Amino acid sequence: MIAARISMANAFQSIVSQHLQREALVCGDFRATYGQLGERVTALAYGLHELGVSKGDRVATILLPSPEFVAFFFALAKLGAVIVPLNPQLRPRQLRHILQEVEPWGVVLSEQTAPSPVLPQLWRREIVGLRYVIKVGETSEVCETSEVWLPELMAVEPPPSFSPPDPSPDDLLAILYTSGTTGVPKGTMHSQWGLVAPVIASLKLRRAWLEKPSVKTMGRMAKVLVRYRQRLLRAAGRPQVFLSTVGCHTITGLEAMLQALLMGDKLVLMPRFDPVEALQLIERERVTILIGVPMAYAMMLGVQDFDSYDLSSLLICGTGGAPCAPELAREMQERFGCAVHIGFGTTELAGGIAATSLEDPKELQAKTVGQPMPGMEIKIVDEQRRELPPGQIGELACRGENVMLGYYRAPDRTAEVVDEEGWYYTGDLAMMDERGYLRIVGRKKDVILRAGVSIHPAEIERYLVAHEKIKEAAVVGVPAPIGGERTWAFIILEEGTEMTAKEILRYCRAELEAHKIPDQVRFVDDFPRAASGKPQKFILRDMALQE
Amino acid sequence: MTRPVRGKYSFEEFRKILAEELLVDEEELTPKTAFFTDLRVDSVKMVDMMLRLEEQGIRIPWEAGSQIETVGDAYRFYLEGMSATPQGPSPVRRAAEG
Repeated sequence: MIAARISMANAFQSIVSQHLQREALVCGDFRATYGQLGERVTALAYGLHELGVSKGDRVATILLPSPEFVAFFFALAKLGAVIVPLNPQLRPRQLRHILQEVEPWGVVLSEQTAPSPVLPQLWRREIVGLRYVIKVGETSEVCETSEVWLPELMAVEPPPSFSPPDPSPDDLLAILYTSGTTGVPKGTMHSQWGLVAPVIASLKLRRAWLEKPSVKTMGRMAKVLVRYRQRLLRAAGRPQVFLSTVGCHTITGLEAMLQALLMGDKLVLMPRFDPVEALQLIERERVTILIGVPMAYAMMLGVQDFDSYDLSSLLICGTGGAPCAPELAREMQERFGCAVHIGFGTTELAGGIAATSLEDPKELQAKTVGQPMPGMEIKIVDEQRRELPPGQIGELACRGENVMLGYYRAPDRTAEVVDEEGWYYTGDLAMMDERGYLRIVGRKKDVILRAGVSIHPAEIERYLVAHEKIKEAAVVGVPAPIGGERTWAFIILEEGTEMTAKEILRYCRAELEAHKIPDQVRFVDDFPRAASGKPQKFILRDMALQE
Repeated sequence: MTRPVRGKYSFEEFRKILAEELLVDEEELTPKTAFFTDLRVDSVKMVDMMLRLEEQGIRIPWEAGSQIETVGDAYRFYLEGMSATPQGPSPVRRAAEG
């Protein structure tokens, strides 16, 4: 177990050394023990080192959840380099923007995620400092001099003398991109320790019931035993089996990966989510902790022969990344037969702020996001950032060791959200009760949470009004019955022009990423407006809900 | 349009309903039209589309959702579901309706 403030590289090495023979990673036909995973990571670190990667170099990955992503993450950590995991669904325009900001030493992509064969050639001209494009897959063609295939990179056995400089816990390890409030992506910087700290917090949270019972924990055990009986007894004191159905470029997916692999548990990855395959994996691998966005759970519950799968190994269904309707949470409790943990976190905090626990009454598991994670300070503040008493709604602010180092190359934007005392102001409106349970009631910032992905309306609005016939656009998130929100675009056309919803969507399909294309389009003569003239989006949202 | 309650829709009828749901021209939908690459329909839109189609009596088995790449796939799974799927709302619809 990780006990002190250490680097990611050392945390991983320590776990590998302790559990050489224990199974660590499963993905499709790929299976590896911690020993084998450690060897792959060292081989890749050596290959990257020989190619010229050194401390502080940035490497962008455009990969699906895969053994290759895992290897790159820990190999770059070992070298003290910086990983920039990017969403494989980003459109070329957005990718170029981020890569131009990051100026990576290399970009890693696979056949499934390569945006287009010509893009890497363009990037070489447009991205300052780009040295190599690393291709994941079998060597099948002659590479250009600035391209390298992953198998070749890992082919040479590292000599015993290979020993990269030990990274410090404070070294930058990852830049995780999140859309900005203005629609401009922001890179959140996280240190080696900053990404280990949330794992320690989770460990503290579940230590009481997942480690061998002690006299101290017997009381708490007894409380949850009544509810989870055999499932808890089977899981307690043994390595857990995580199934992550979430992309590793998201903080939820990354945290699931780290929670499993830094605790010596087994991680099962799905490159692409499929509800039947997920149920088969739970049954086959005896999964105990399932991680997915609410919509993934709704899809699994919709599988025709759901009840024929043996899901009795499951102890926790963890969800986050999008609002989870209480009805869905209750159906999850009932039909998966286990606890539901609705976590709440942000990329800026490298993961969880609060989460429910096994001991919480089912109603609180379904309706709140639980209590603050261990080590996380929370307060609710008013417009002037003064702390509010329990029961009042205000902006949620957090402080802890996992607060980001700042936004990449954007100190002014960092100063807007992190104060001198280290408090991060989330932009979420929340309420905390007397017992410390947190409810998220809305957002101060204008963000749409659609199936685990944050969408900033400003980006879509800007794109829409660039059309000659569109005078104004207001984009809002509207809660969807099966969880998350959907994007509604309200449009005011230029006088004397005509346009159909079909034409609007065709225009959006040309340039916007699939998840940013509005789900619904409505035309209005004018918006309800505040005194400042700004559209009152809460009224537009209500209009959508009343349809 | 009169919707058959238990009868099968022809591909042309299926395509017309799909075009209305996705707000695209019918002509854009051929059996080979790919949802993601041609129509930019992601997994969330696919789920919503399946829920709305269900309201119109077109039930595509949920387990087929992630295997559907083209309009032709969707129609094939609909036909297969017609013979295998019991009538009545799917569990996802029940979850959606709370």
